[in-house]
Amino acid sequence: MRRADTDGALETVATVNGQERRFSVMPRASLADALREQLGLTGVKVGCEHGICGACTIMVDGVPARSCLMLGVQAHGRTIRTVEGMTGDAGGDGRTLHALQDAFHRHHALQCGFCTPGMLATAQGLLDDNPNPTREEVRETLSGNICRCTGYQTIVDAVMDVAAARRVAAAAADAATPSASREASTANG
Amino acid sequence: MGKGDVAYIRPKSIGVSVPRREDPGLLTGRARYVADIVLPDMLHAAVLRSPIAHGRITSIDVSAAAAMPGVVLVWTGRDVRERCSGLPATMDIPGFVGTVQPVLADDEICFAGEGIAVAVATTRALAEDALEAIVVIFEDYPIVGDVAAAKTAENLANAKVPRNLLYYSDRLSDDVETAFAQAAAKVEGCFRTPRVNASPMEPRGFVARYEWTSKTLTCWSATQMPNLIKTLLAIFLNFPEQNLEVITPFVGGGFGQKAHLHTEEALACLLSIELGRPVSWIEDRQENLLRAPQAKQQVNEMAMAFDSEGRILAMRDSVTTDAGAYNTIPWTALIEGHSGILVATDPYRVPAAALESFSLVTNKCPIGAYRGVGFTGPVLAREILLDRGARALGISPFEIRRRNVLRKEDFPYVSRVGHTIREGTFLETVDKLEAMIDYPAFLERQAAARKEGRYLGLGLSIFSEPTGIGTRTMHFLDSPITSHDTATVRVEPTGKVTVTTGTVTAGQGHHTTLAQIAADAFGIPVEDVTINMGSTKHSVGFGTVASRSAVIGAGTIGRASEMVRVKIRAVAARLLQAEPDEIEMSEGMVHVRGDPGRGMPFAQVVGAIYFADATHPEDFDPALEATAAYDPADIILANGGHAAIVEVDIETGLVRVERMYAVEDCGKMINPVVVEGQIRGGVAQGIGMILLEELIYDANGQLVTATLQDYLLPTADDVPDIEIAHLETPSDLVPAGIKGMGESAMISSPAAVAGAVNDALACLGITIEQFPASPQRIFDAVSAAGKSR
Amino acid sequence: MKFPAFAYAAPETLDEAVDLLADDPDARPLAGGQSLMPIMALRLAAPTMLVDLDRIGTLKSSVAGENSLRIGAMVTHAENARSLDISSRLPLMSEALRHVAHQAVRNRGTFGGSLAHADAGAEMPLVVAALDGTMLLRGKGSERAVPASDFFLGHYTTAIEPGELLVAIDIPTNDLQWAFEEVARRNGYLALAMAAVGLCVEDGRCAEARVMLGGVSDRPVRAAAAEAHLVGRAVDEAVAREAGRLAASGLEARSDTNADAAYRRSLVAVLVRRAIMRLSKGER
Repeated sequence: MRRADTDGALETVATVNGQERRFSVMPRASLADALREQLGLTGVKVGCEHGICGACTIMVDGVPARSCLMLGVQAHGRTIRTVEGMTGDAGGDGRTLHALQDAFHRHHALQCGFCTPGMLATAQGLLDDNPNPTREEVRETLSGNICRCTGYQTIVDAVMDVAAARRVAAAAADAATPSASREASTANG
Repeated sequence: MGKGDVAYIRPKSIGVSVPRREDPGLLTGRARYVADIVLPDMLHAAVLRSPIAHGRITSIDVSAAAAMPGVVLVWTGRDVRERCSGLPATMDIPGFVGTVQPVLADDEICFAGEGIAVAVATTRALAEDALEAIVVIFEDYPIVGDVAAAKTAENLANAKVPRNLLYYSDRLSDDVETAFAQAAAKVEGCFRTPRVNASPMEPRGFVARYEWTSKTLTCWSATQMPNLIKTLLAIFLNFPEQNLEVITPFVGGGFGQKAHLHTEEALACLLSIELGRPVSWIEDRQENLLRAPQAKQQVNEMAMAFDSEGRILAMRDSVTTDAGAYNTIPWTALIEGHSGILVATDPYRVPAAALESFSLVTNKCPIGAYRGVGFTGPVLAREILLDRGARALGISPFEIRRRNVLRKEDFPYVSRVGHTIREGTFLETVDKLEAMIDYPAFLERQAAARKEGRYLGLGLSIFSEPTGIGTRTMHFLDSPITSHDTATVRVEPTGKVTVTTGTVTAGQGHHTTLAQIAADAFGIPVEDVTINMGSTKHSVGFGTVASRSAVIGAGTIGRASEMVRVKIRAVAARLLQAEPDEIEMSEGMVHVRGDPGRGMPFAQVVGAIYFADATHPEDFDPALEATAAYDPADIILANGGHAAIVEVDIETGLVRVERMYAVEDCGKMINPVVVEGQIRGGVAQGIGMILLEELIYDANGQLVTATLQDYLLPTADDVPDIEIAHLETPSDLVPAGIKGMGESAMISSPAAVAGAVNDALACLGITIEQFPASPQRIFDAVSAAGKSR
Repeated sequence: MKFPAFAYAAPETLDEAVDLLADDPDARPLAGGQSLMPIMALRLAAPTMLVDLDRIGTLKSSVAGENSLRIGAMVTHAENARSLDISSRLPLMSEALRHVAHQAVRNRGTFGGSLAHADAGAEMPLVVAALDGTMLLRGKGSERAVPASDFFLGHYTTAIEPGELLVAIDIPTNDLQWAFEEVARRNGYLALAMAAVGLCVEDGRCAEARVMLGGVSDRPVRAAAAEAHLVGRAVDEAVAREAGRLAASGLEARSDTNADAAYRRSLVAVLVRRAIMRLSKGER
């Protein structure tokens, strides 16, 4: 059984931003603090530490989760993706902005940037779940991430832009794909 | 040249929505905020905060805390007082009562949340553990819980403030009684705006590093006013200013909350000096709600008198500010109601006004600056009363404003308070809003909804905003502060430009917008300019507050650029065989005006200055670097308006904001998309203040709303799409005609939302004067009106 | 604030978990953490140990029976929201899940965790009470089934004894049509008041009625008088209004900064009426 005493650190192994990372952390450390302090991933933002503001939202096993409400030791065996890993997801040399990041930039969907990593994770989770959202659905999903700077409208614009672009790309890919493999790809999508 | 001089800058990049260069670092999580600063040997501080609202520490025992694992030091107020006697905040006007706030309270405690001890440990968690082991015994004093109690002066909230009064002003006392007696319509109300928290997504934080070998103190602060806090720390801590540096990393929002010197900042410095190690203090959200400067809580008892045509005959306003237990630095309690009455009449012709303000202390966390400062409260009262006047006289809310706003033929108009208003598109704003809303269509919709038992409302607000705030504006606001800002402009040997500025940013995009200004000053591409900001080692500035950075940026960069341009013109004139005053810079070229073919690339002229002595005129100083100050010659007024359409569900009390509209005239916009971002963010905050946000203290002076579960910030579900229109009245006090606008939406949109709620319920005879208009308050009002089903 | 210090264990089996909890009365089970961790972050609770239930596979399995669904305590809200069994056979639960917090919280928060936490303003306790669910508890060497009416004892208070773990919830299916109504200050926040109304209409008359209220008291409350009024009547606006009035009448509602008792009672009448009207119009 995996366990640690109050003062004991627990060796934790997780896949973080595509790489296997090992770190040793006390049970009391939140996942947010463990990622920030043990792995230097300061792109994980702590805005309230009680699970409301959403700034700490990252991807855990492919879905958005609040890292301030998880423990560092709970990362063990999981796949973690923080905002630092988004350019990696975009492929290439890791210096190309992910489509969502680029859309945020073009739509002025960030000002101070503090809520942005959490917003990006939530937006990504939304589009993974619902590739064709309405503006209302985008607003509803994003309502779990508080932003004090933008008034939200441009964030909604950015997410809708990416959704539309993906639909266009998917339609083009569909048109170019023979029907058998088309069925397979929609089953995965 | 004087510091108010306006350099010529021709807009080319100015006016373009250049995408922000700060974005990639922010989007990828690579940009560093103060909580991301990690230094060798760094320690973490946690502050023990008073659980009682008013009283005295009779004993405090930190011995157990000091012995806990990882704990390096525990101090009480007594330890700190030996090193710093407190932070004085005062204003140099007769009758003002200054206060000195202890860095840690050691005698009288004046609000729940006031710091009373600090633990420093190897981690924040261990420091917090240590706080739990500190044993404190208190003696309770009576609590002054609100301004009503403060006014009776039966008990004192702060022993050093006689009668709980920091400042009283009967700023203006025209005879308004005659006007009220003769009025065709009189309206009045007692409007209570809530106590709110600016709530930037990044709470406050500070890292201090004292290096004993060089006796230097380096600080990182999430601040909007690095130079101010550097100078004040030097004074209050008796530390040589030349060895003190304040660095501003990326800041996650400020909105005025980070435009103060905080007690915790002084404390972190003292701790680092004592320990010889870096000390980091990063507050969490609870601490922020409890202790960061609060704002907006005013009571405006306002009345307006109209003639039969709806023209304003007189206004009366008595504003009471609940200042909390101390003045904050540098604004003091005057930042709230008192500032507000000084601009309360501005967009309108008001022939007679009686305006007074009370600034009172209570046993609550001190107030400070928050976007729109004291202007918000009186604007809300005024605009709702205009709507009521309109209803009483059977005039539309647009028409009553048309009949009263200042028009071109009125300029210059001297308000009763003495503010000379020379420009503004007030009338155009009213017309624009009416067109955007399609008022007749709204009235039809409102009537149809009422038949279905649904209540729609429209609220309006017309505003003017003092921007680019410098010395003259501060003096007008009875806050005789002198602001001091400079920029250093250097043209590099390869023709690129670096600008060092005292402006910092908390999300406003200054790295980009100031580059646009500097690029246009030299007629070069914006990519060829880099703005350096964020260290007091190289810059001087008052602060990024008060809608001033665009103006101050343009002014300082303009003047400094001109000092360098003179040299470039001199050498170019020689090379082109023309007169220096015929030389112009545009499109990357230095050329004769009107003859672009007769010119040379900018970089070539610059290269000549650096490397070709033969091209220099006689007695030529080739330094292509200059520093200049700028302080606007007068108040720079922007203007605009807002409108809100809401639906009130009278069964549940819930209010939905259906649509928002904004008109903004901030002169020449540097970056339109950035301007719109400021408007949208401010509107969201306005909606929050009117419908959701409220810091609630109970009868024991305890803050009940100490988490985000209870302090409700607006989310994407609460803020609709906002339609924005722009007008442009360039300022002749600022290069390129730029004005500021950062606070506009918080000055004015609360009034529009509040007015809309009132408009929705007016047909039921209900008025809402206390905000936020929470579901409970709406329910109570509807019940009282006996209209609930 | 940072969490207070605690020990941590991640047992692989239910027995191991129960043993750990039995050995230390100040140990707490850690389900999704979405309710427990904020409380610990505010230092309102300081368990000596957190027993992480995440590795115990049996707690995550759900079984569809002929007349009921058994849902594992560690199944997340997100998984329940995606479940076709639940959307087709317990539609009240699907509807209510949309009001539970936000996506990231639903990804981690668990059904059992929400029930064991028993916040008076939470949706899942109301749903389980409305559907007559039974909570299955395991202790060291003991097993028992507690019906919802005996399980929710107050705000943050349930029938779970020290050393016991909620392992699964049995919910019978039914033939009622359900509507869920909620008023909260903000989307996804704890409710000021909620109503779950189930009706079975035969030959134009209400044959069976279920009216359950949440968020108004310290636990789910059955509005028996409202139910009695509905049974045997054709459902129209007047009947719905009276049912609402009866549901609110005499209700001892809790009072806090967001809503006093009178306002909560008023909300109850409105929400019950609106739920009934939605059902009578066949709306979803």
